[in-house]
Amino acid sequence: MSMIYDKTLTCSGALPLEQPKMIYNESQVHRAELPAVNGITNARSLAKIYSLLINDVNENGKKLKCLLSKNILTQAITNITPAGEPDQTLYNKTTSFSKSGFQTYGDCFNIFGDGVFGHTGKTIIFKYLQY
Amino acid sequence: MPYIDQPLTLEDACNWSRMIDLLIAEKPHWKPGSTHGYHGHTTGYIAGELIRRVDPQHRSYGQFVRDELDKEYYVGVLDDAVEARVAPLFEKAVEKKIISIC
Repeated sequence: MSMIYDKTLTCSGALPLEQPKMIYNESQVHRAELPAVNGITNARSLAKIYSLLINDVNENGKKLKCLLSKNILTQAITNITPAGEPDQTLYNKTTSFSKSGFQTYGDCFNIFGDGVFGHTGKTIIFKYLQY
Repeated sequence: MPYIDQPLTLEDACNWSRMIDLLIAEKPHWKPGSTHGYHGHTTGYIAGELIRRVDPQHRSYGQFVRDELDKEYYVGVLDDAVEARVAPLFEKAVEKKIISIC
């Protein structure tokens, strides 16, 4: 393994992709804290967390206060990547990230339009509990 | 610091303090501000350790998120009842194609 892409996407070989056995299904991986890759939740929880970044949330009649001021949110989701700059660890594709690390609208994240923030959402990022 | 420049094992990746020690010892892979790159794994350790250090209770990232954001968002499942409900992931060709593009 030598390519910078492989090292980045597999955690230097610790979490290989495209194997016969999906390593992200291992209970050892579920137990570990790998914040970038093993957030495990359901759609409702994920929607609530993202909603709380944008506005107050009513949860079963209980008002939950927005986590960020509008000023902080604006700063957190504003793209700071120079236009067209190739991503050194993602095959030199043009990606756009904000100061806080959210992926922002761009060639690789072009659904919803301007103002969108988050992540393109590879399958390895979020899993959902079955209800 | 998009990766640690030495081969790592699954045990390394699952050992928080080991990963933080490795990241502290790692030199930046390019001059900061000169270019950019997706941090597929290291961003989680870096942000998580920042939170652990500034939190007066020094909670782990997973505990902090459950306490402060939502009790149903797990980073680190230690409860067998929750583990039993985690849906398995499958890789399909169409998803591989997406990964290769972005």
